[in-house]
Amino acid sequence: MAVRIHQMTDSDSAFCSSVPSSEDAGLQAASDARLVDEARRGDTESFGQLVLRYERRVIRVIRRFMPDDQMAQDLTQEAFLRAYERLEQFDPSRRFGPWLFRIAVNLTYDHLRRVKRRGKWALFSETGQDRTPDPATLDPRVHLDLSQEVQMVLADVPEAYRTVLILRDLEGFSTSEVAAVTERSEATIRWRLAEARRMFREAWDRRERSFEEMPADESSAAER
Amino acid sequence: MNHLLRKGRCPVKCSDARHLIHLSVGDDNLPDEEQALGEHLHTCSDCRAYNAGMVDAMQLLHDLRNSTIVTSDRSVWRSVIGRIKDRRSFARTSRQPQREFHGGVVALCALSLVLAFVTIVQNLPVNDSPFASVPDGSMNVSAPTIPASRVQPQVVRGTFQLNPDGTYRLLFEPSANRNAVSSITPEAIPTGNDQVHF
Repeated sequence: MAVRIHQMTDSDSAFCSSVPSSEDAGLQAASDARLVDEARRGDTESFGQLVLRYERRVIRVIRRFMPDDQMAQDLTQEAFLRAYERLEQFDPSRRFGPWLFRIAVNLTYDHLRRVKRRGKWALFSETGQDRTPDPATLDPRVHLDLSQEVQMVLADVPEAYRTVLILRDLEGFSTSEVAAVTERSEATIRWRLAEARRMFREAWDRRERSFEEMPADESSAAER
Repeated sequence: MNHLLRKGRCPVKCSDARHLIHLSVGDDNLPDEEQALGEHLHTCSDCRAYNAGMVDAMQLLHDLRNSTIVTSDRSVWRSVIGRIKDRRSFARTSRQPQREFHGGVVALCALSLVLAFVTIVQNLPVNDSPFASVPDGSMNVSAPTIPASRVQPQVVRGTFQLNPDGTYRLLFEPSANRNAVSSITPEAIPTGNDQVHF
């Protein structure tokens, strides 16, 4: 299977997978509206064009929430399928991009919550001995690279704040675009962004402190 | 935050400055906010140290942002269109048994309505006319119970015929509306073929 490597650049500021300028963004929105209108009348090829336009970006956004590429592909498919089924309910005066990304983000969180619930059930079904960590791999985080470490710290940030942080700081959405995706005001987004960055920084500092304390813990455990 | 800045050169508190720092590291501050923050950082070493820590934390995110993401080259459109077609065909096949069920239900409802209608009609009271069928040219003169407001003045033509017992017999023309007749008083009895208003 061919593999595409996508490098995120600072110029990727629009929703779609291509890189239009601000003038092109207006034209983009107009053509999106035309394609949506044709898709609502039953033209699946028009919807196909929307898929091709947005799929790369949607996959990338979902991948920010989870590392599994196959699951991200599945969720992307599900997001487009759900968007197609809900086209009748879509308000044509709104932009298609933010609406699509909202569906994708909600689906991603639904999946993550299901996985978390399954994990909790598995925890309760195990005996107490099974739950204790293996001393041979006391801290598996030692073997993670920096991006994986950052991803793990991001997972500690609450959902509503994590969404804003990912969309703004990792995907380069503007505050107005983030507001459109999350259906909140720009003032709320700015406030959440400030709080999200504070939470990320505190979570990162905690992790760094626990990492620094580990050699002392390991040596004391060995002496015992 | 803006209400403090609008008041003029109001000193920014450290708590407010930290909020501005969180926005500044992502270039999300407004120009006047950025200026106020700059003035505060010029005087507060604690906030300068905090700002440096935030810049380092944001650099981590920027590095992650610029990192490569490996994804499959295959478009999801083929899978999406396949699933759309599958769902359409499933919806079509699952609809057919429901159609038969609905037809039977509609037929039952229609039959019930017809039976109810027939029953109601059959049980309606028969309305006996106060006027017995009489041959043309004569009629009884008992008064029907017609409300005064519904009585329409009508001119009818007829002939009064004196009976042997002293009563009068009114002979109407065949086209006259007998149902519109009210009681005839002796004063109203004309002679001959004069018109009678009722």
